[in-house]
Amino acid sequence: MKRVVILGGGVAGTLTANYLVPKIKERIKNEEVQITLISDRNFQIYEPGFLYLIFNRLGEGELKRNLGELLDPAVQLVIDRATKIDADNSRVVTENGSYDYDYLVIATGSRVVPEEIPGLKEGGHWFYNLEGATRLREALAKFNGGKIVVSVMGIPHKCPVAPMEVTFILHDFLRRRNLRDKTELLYTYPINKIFTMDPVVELVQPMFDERGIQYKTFFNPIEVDAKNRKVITLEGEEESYDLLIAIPPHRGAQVIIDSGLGDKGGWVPTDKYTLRVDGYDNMYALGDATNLPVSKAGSVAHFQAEVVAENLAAEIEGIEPTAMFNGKAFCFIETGWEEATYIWFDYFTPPRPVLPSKFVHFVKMAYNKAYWLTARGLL
Amino acid sequence: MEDKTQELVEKLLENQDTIEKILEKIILLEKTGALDTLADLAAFVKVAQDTLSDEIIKKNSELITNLGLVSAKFTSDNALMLIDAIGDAICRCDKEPEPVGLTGLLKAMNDPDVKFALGFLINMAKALGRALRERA
Repeated sequence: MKRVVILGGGVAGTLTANYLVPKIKERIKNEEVQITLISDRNFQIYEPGFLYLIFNRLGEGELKRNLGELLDPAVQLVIDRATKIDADNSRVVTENGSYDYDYLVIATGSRVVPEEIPGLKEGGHWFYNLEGATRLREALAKFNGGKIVVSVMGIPHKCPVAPMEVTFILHDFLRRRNLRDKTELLYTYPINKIFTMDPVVELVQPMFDERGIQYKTFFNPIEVDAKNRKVITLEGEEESYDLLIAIPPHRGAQVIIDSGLGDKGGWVPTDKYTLRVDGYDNMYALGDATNLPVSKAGSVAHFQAEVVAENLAAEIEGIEPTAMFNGKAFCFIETGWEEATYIWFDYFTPPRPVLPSKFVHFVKMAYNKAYWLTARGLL
Repeated sequence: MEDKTQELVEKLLENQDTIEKILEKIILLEKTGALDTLADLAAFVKVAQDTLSDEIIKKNSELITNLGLVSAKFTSDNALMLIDAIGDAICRCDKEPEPVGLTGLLKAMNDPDVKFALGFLINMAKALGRALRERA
């Protein structure tokens, strides 16, 4: 019997499992193949929802679903924390056991490490995990005017457009609460422009100007002075704040670092087209876990899962795998409380944002609820 | 005013190819009557845009999503086989039901078809128990 082990119960892991099952269902039924998904929690969180949770537009309960509800019933679900990938012996070791595999899919995602910027935990907020988002929701509800700094403190980070989105929504949130006149809003980005992609900069920068949103580039925070409420940068600048919304540095999963499989950020070196882990024929990696020069976004994991599932199915059937990932990403960009645009791009095509509209915002709001159909492999 | 006209002419000349293509399309739409339909559709889209709200979108998407998630399981091979078999049973079962007591029930259990269905129900109960425990 061939054993496929999928490590991670986020978008990447769940979708790979759900796409793979229908392709090899006869073999699973005849017990020739077993698919095991290992996740350290029995639920999945829809992380893009944090952007709405902080403004109290979505609640915690709306962002969670049981993995049992999302996974194809033919997948064996194991709730356990993986502690080591023993790649030489094709085995995943967990806190409570071990799992041998013929094929391993690494879908271990990414995590924020605010502790890497001294003072950030004490002096700042973030919305890139549930705990941070609920804390920021409270701070925003209490905010009465002053200076808000939205600061990207490391690249790569999840959902690259989210810092711009949160800035736009903040602008409208403050207007709706009659606080915009009393608030200075500053957005900072580490490189020489406000975003990595020029077509997005061309759309967003004039919109920032129209709204009186200030921005600073080449701004690389190295420390937060929590007591005096100041951000200190590598470039020698100091920026004061009343409320700091940081996008903290991100790292790969601990199990990747502990297994010696990651680069210095904990990202798994992966082939950008085949999604095979460099140096291993029986390992694929996808989603946030990889070192690929693509966005760390759910849509990327989604498009990659199609490729990994197709290639795994081919290998199981004894056919040469030929599916290739072309770098596709799709991102909605909220440009206010109720208007949005979107971009899609791949390795060969630059993004071309459409004019922001209420309809695109509605589609995004609908997708916030309908995402679970994507996780199930239906949308 | 003259400057504005000049600007307009320049813009038209600059985009001559694009404008010709657009005009061709609009003329075709008008000739086929589709332009009126498009205008009606635009009004419909505008009504939707003006009356929809985040809350309505959320509620409806949630409803459709839940139906979708459930339907994914009810369209598996096994589920389709069961639903199909139930359909056959309903169609074939045209006899008037007779009241059945404990003796009748025991007698019915000798019937090979009833035995087979009971076996299926016991398998179902086992799988249901497991699924419920997994969600507990």
